[in-house]
Amino acid sequence: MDVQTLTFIIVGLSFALYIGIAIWARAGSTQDFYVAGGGVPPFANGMATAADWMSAASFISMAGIISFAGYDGGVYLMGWTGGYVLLALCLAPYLRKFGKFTVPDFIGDRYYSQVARVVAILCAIFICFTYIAGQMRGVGVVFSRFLEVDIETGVYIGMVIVFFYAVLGGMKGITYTQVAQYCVLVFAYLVPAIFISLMMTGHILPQTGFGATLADGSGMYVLDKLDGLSAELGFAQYTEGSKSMIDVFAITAALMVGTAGLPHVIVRFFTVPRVKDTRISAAWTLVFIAIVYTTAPAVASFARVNMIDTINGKDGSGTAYADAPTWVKNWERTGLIVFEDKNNDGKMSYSAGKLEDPNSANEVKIDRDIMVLANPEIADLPAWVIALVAAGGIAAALSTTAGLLLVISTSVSHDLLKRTLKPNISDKQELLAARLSAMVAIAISAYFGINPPGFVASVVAFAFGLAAASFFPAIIMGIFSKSMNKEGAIAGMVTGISFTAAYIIYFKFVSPELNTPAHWLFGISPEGIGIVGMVVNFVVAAVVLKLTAQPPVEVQQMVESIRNPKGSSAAHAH
Amino acid sequence: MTPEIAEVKQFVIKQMPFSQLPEAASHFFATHLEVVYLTQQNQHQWLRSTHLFLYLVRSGSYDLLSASGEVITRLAEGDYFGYPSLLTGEAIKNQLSVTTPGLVYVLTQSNFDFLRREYKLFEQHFVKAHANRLLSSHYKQNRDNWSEQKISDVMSRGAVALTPDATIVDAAKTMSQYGVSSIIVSENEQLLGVVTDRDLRNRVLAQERDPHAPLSSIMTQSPKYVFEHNRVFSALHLMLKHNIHHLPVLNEHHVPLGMLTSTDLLRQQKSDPVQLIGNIYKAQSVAQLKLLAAEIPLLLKSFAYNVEDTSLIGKLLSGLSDALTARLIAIYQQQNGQAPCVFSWICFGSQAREEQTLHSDQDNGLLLPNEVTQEQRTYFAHMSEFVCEQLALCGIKRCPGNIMASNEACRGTAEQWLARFENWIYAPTPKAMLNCKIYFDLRFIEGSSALYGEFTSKLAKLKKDDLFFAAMATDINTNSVPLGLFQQLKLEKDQQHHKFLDLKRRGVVIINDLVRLYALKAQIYKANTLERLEALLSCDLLSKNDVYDLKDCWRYLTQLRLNHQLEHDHLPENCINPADLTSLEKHQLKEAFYLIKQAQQACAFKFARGSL
Amino acid sequence: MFVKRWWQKVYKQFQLKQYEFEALNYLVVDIELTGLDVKQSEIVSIAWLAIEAGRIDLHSAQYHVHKDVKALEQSPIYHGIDESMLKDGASLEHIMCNLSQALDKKVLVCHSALDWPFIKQASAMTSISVEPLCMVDTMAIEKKRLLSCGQPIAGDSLTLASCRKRYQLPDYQTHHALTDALATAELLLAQVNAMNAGKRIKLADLM
Repeated sequence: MDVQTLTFIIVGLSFALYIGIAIWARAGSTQDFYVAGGGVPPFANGMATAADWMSAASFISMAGIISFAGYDGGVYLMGWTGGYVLLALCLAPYLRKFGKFTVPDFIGDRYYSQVARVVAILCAIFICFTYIAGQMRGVGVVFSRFLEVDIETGVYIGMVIVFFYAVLGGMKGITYTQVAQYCVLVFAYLVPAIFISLMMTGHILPQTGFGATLADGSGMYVLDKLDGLSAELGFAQYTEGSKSMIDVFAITAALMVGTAGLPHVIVRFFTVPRVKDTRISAAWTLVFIAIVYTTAPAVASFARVNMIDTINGKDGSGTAYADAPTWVKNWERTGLIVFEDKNNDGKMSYSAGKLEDPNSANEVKIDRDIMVLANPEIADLPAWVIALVAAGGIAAALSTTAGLLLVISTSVSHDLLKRTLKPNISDKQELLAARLSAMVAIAISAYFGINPPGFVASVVAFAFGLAAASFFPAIIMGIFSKSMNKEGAIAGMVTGISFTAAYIIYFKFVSPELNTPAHWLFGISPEGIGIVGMVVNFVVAAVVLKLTAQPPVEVQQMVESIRNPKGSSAAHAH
Repeated sequence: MTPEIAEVKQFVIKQMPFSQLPEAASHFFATHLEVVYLTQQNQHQWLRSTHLFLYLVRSGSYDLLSASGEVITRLAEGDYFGYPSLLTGEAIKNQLSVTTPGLVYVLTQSNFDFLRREYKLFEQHFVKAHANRLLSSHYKQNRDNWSEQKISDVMSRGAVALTPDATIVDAAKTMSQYGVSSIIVSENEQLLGVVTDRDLRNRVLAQERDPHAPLSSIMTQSPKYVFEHNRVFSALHLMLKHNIHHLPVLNEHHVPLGMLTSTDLLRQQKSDPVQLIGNIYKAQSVAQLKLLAAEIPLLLKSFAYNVEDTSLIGKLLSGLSDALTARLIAIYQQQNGQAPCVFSWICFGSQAREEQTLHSDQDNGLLLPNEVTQEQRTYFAHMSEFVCEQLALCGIKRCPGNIMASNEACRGTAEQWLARFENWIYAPTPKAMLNCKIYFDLRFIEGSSALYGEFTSKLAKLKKDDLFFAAMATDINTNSVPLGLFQQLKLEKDQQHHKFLDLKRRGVVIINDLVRLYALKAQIYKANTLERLEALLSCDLLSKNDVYDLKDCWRYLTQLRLNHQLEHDHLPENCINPADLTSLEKHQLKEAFYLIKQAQQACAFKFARGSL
Repeated sequence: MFVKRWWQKVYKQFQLKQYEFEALNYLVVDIELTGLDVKQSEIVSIAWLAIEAGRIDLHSAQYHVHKDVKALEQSPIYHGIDESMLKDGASLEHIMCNLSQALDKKVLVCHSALDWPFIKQASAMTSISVEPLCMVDTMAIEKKRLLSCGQPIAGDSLTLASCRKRYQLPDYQTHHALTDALATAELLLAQVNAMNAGKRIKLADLM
């Protein structure tokens, strides 16, 4: 059976699984009235959170970025992992104690202001849009390859699938569907990684294979070989960064604190009834995320070695285009690999290229987002593994998109419409508004998925940057400073997000030609500017606070009681 | 002073009874009325049973229909309606069908009462109209008509009588002591006259007569009377003919037995269930109670076909359970001594919501004061065991979930109960949610209402945060309506392979759960679903349309369930076989389920952000 | 600040229009004038009554004759108001003061938008501000309804009496401010009920 048929079957099966679970979960219990349902165990909730967490960016793009950027790509890994820990340890417990379900609700109540709530809602919607755009691109890449269409059509197909799945399917973030999606995703990620690790290093665990010697008898370490290859081809050394320290720091920090403000993940902390279970569930999530994240660097380097080997040939002189491996041909169709025979030798060569020497010019342009997906093909793995990876990529995108669409649609229909603009709207209209807003969200994100301002992971990085610049300071000050007032918080959020958005838009859309370290503020790239936005937010908030009145006493007392651990645990002592 | 509008005044002054009243009456009416435009669509809004009004048709035409849908009378310009409820204080039962929409003048109860007080003619006009309505309408059609009952079955026994030489003060004291509005004046067991509270006003106070004068000076001499073997109908006739409200009842030897009042007759409109409840409250022994309880299923059967408002059935059954419980508690105390300290017997679940069915089981508990001793606890343990046991023998099954006062856990002090509730709220596990669904519907039955009141006000103050509501919304969404992907009805099967639809669990229960969630959110502390919905109208958690929709669905499903429950025995309780439904019924059923599904989704949306 | 106030105003109006008809209170006002020219004509008499929760409350009715009218002109013939009645009338300040109170948080209802300039002018003259939530004009509603049915609009088809006839409302003697106010109020209820046909009418549908 060819790859395409297998992909259809496996992706189809995975969908059948999700839909089956959704139906089973909705079917309701037929058991006795006086017996309670099972509830979601922390273990399962941990998996569901991990699925929400791991987007197409994590699944498809992160390894690709590491693969191409080497050490620099590690910022995503560090930022996201750190962000999760920050969220689980520093924010979720307090928000839970506050009893608020969403960040806008928290901000609205903590800052006793409808304006603050609306600003927060708008920020949340904006962030979600950016995040979904990344997902749409991810889905598009998967579909374009396996249906053998160009990326644009791929995004359209992805759009339709997401629409049916999330909008017509009732748009419910059902925990067990997410669990299934995590399983598909992790399986799809690990299987090829293990295969390749075995083939290249003889180690079953990609994590150990990553630091081991190659099995081809050369006795070289994987990373040494990569460094060698990179240097040979004119790239920076794989294990050394090209980014300035401050930029790496900024991106990592922006990703970290931005993560903490991501609306769809926070909700998952509240679906577990007991506080104790929340902690266990958060720990499980970390384990499940770690499984994928620790594999990513290994996948990245294996893929790179393999890719350079197959394109440039074992001896580095280049493979004849006529004999090019099938994966090159396959991906060429999507437009994500472009071969241009600059020196007319009929051979492909991949290198950093030097301008003055046309013979050394890079002839193969490879989109970074294809690395994970193409990896099994490059390594000549069986067709079903390739199909599995496709299913995994879609699972990653779907789980995150469903969560984000829920945030957008509830924010628009409930927070904005029902609670602010039209209080006497009926349930039917509210649901309709939710569906429509989700549809619009998908359409807009698809547009950005087709015309992306960057790669999946970088697009997502913008979302994180925006979250870092808007929510994070408001939440932190809301919890840890009882004197912060609404004027300060609102001013902070507005300036933070505007500053960051303006910076990103300027460098990515208005004058992309200026997007070099020389023109950046403090040498911080648009990906990392969120952290500056955050600082701006803090400063503006502090200044405005000085100029305006203190918050009401009851708010101050409330903040005091949140931080005081006795308050909430007393209820559980019974 | 409010100016009168010439056009309104001119119209009013031409109408009965104003044409016979002083001009001031018309002026009062013309300046105190409100004008509504009555159409088929908005009539429910105006004919709400909670607010009683007098209606006078200014333009348009309407058919007045009885509860069963028969035309009682056609209303056109100058006709009144709504006065029977104003006179009896009962909810409006009749319906309107609007032929031509038009203007209707509306007068509030207080203004109606003012005119009634001020102008005797005004009152007479409406009392007469009411009586004519009673006689002319469906009461004639019922075969075992209450008006054909013997007076002896209807009247309250025991004549409150005084001799003619008793003073007016004596009469007034006796009347207030017995709580009656009239007194028989007799000598040697022979009827001499009647004194009513109206006489005290008109003939004593108004004329500044000496209150120590003998009764004979103010009594109505040789009054009209009836015999105990007469039919109610003739008494009614007599009252209407002479416009009197009190009739002494005599036996064959003309010995006064008691007084029949117009209120007694009006009370007869309510059917026997009320009597049954009354009898239960009077029962002196457990054996008697069981006999009375045995009548319930039969009573329900005859009663259920005659009511159009099905929520009444639930109320009735709950009322019977309340009465049985209260009586059993009293009997226990008679036999084993008074309770050693205050207590409140409370009920939960369907009994609290007043939605009991014949199949409902007991859900009850005992609320004790915080300082209760171990010894006192033992007393209550025995009492609870007795009451629950006897209730089971009276046909109200023991609770399979053991939510009964006989269970140690359901017999707590206010503090213990609060701690339980608090625990459920702060750790909303599925088990806790199940408990919330049962225990948050609670109602006081017997004992100290102060203790209960204090407890509920504390319960209301427990902070319920968003996580709790999210958990409730999630829990509601674990249940689903029996609709398939293409809105087809999805049937369940039992062991005997009967296919059926569970109207209760998959319909009514979901509505109850939804309404409870909204009620808790809106801080509404009522247990009855329809009352909660009514209260929800005044807050903007749910739009008015949604409230009306839920109400209609609830009523429809309850009605359907009841009709089929009475007819079929082979299906599991509360279930119906859709093959028995007409296609219209099926369509309505689907519609109802669809509305519930939508409300469910919206609730997951509003409270749980769509996460399940 | 200006932008904020402007936005608040726009937003308030928008929000207001989303209210269902019965959620708001209305004050139906009718004015009898000496003529139609805002500059020269004067208010002879004014009457109003309130609609609350869809009910016309006759107890809220007020009727005032303006005592300082300079030239009655045709009024004795049209409105039946002569010099003797003016003596018992009230000052414009008194009238406007009452009107301003009655209009508080209510929607102003008139038959024809012509009355509003006179109220504005009187408000300016007495410097007592009248601030209805917004204005509803039953004549405009009728016009819109007729046009949407494709009916031609003849010269007198929009008078109060002919509008009422269309809804089979009773015939009233016109040209008494209080009767006209009631007539307008009844007309509004009839229009709203004719428009809704089952669904709830919003204020926006009336404007």
